[in-house]
Amino acid sequence: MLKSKLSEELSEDEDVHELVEILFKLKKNGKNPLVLKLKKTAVETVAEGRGRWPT
Amino acid sequence: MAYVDTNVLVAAYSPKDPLHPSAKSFLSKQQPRKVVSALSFAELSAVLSRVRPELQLPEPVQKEPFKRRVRAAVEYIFKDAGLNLASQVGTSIIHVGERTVPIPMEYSKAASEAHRLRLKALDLLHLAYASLISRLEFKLDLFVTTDQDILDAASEIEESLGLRTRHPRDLP
Repeated sequence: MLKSKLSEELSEDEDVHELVEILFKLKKNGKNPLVLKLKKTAVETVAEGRGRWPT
Repeated sequence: MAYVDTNVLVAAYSPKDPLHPSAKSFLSKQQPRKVVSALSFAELSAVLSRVRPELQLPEPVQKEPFKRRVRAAVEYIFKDAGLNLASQVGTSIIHVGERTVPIPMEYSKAASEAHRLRLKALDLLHLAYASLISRLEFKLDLFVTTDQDILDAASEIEESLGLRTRHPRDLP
């Protein structure tokens, strides 16, 4: 019981439904609501987080 | 069905990335159906947080606290790309020293495949997730990634885990 209470306390979530709806509404209107303007390539960016540069 | 690596998701939303066209094209197709894991959820949140100024969102969303922007961006990408987030895969009992403890099953799977695949921990964990998801929730055929280390281990991965590893540009 203690464990399930602790697990409930430690679980974190954000209700962002409203924000996601805004993004989809913009997409429906022909806009690109989410753009990543990365300085590095996607492969490099993700690989850095995995502790290495891509080979 | 295909497990989609995080680098494919990031490329698909980075219009100037050299892999953007193939990643976008792969994600825009209905087939194969696509799956990601809890690790993808955490990793994509981490990537979007690290590149903070490079994450461009429209005005009403941009005003939100950063934590909510990242969460909304992750949820948008998952939904927009038609990704199924697989549920928790379970626990394994391991005996280490004098302790017998339950650990997340993907960790025991990653550890048991480490000697054969010799990949970095997060690469191994994604593959372990894909293998377990395939056995427990959705039958997977493909692991789609742009990571060269994983692509280089394609034959070992297929032999050990029964998953074909493909770059999105090599898919029809």
